[in-house]
Amino acid sequence: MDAQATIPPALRAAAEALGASLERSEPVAAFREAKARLDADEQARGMLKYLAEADADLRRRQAEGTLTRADIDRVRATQQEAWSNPVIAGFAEAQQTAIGYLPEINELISELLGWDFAAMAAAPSTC
Amino acid sequence: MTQIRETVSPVVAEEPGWRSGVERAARDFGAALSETPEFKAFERAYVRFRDDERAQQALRAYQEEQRSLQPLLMLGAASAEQRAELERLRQAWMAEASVTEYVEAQTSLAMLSRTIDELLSERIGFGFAAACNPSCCG
Repeated sequence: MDAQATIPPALRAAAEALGASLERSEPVAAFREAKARLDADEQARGMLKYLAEADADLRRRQAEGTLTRADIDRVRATQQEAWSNPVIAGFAEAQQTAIGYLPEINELISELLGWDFAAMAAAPSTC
Repeated sequence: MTQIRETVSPVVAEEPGWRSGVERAARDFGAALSETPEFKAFERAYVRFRDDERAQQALRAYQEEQRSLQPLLMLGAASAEQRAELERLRQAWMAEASVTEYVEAQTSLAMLSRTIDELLSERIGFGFAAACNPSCCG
């Protein structure tokens, strides 16, 4: 587990305010709603779980050299079925929109600092 | 003026409110982060490292050796001597006082940034930094 730094009170307050503000923003609020809809939809969650398993199985077969055309067609059919589910499609779209919005905010933070805040936060110590 | 109001959808009309709120919060957050001892130490260390001619020379020597060996290293064909020389140059660079100070300051700031990222990510429901750096380390 990564070590945790102590956040000074003023910085913690500013980070909490930014988090609350982002939470209320249209892209993040829409993402959270879409996520809640997905979490509540057993069929959609089951479909995603099945898709993840089928994808992992495909990669395993590819590594083993036992992949067949039928395996690929089966995964593609599962993918198409998943993306035609409105809850899954809505979640994927909301996620993309939210992910597309955050770099704008990082840019604002980073402009003030003179370095990329997100890159600094994401960089693993071994990178 | 009236015409614009009539043609703008309610969602678009509300956008400036949340947008300006987030932007203000982002700027306030950036300003607060720039006031931390970690950030100030990082800035000082960076300037010292940048202006340290000996450290810069050691870095150039390491980078030049790394560049010239890159094809061999990628193929796993570099000899033990070549790898040892590269490591010696890396150690020489890392041993410079301004480099040590810079690395330590960067590590502290990165740790603080990661802790804040966890706080922000928990609040919004997904990784803030990860969303901004989708290709970091593959």
